[in-house]
Amino acid sequence: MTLLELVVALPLVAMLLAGLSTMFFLLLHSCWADISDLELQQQLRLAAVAVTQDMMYADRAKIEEDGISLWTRSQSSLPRQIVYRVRDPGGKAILTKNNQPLTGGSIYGDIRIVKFQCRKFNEKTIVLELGGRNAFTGKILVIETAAVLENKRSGGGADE
Amino acid sequence: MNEHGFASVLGLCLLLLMACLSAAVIGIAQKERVAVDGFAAGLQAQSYAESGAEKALASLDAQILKEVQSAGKPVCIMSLPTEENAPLKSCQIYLAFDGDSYVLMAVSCVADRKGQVFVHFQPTKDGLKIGKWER
Repeated sequence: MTLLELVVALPLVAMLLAGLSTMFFLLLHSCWADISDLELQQQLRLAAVAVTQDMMYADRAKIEEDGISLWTRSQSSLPRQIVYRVRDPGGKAILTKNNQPLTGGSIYGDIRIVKFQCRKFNEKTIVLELGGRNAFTGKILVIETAAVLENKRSGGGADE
Repeated sequence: MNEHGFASVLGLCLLLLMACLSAAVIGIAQKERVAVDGFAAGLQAQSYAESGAEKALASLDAQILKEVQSAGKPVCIMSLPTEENAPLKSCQIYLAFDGDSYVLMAVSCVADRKGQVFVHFQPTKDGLKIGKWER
């Protein structure tokens, strides 16, 4: 290989490598963003399912400013309180169930709750709006669902 | 053809191959992005349909049931375009009488994704006896 060939070949190889590495990192970022947004969806879906399932089996519900309290009956027939709250540890809002985190950061993403709103639709139906933001991509997703307090038929209900 | 010419052609072919690969990979990444956004809209649509179905079930009364039974075809009993989200989010709820039971169908649309829920129920003297939910 002559010096001239080397002079021509080296920049070409460098350009090729730069292009390839840019492509690789863009792709890596894109993959992580996708996974992270899927994590946002999963966390919100599971949290919404948990809240609505507990609502369905609740005797009574009390809607509060930053959450909801539900009273259900355990196997021993003793009333049990379930409290869903949005907590803000270090500026990262998470949803908790009896102080245990339901959403939050994981290896896939940093999910922050931006909306947790319960409102009465009627005496036994509560509409839930749950919104989250993926801190990695900035994507915000809000889902709305509703649940009927099935046990309302035998007393209890939703209070505000 | 001498050896130097061959190396140059080979180098160009390699560059072309790399360019094609890059374009393909970027295309795939973009499609994945669209798919993830689509999943999100699908999730919103599905939960909105369930929300609509619950709201409709909670609003049903004997008068509506009677009207649907006499109509003999599915009737739109509720339409839910919420003020702040319309027209990006909408949900229509239809009710049909099916012999001895009723079928409630909630169809929602969020962005370009649709969600739907079918709920089978029977009215009883204590309220509604909810059967299966089909999603």
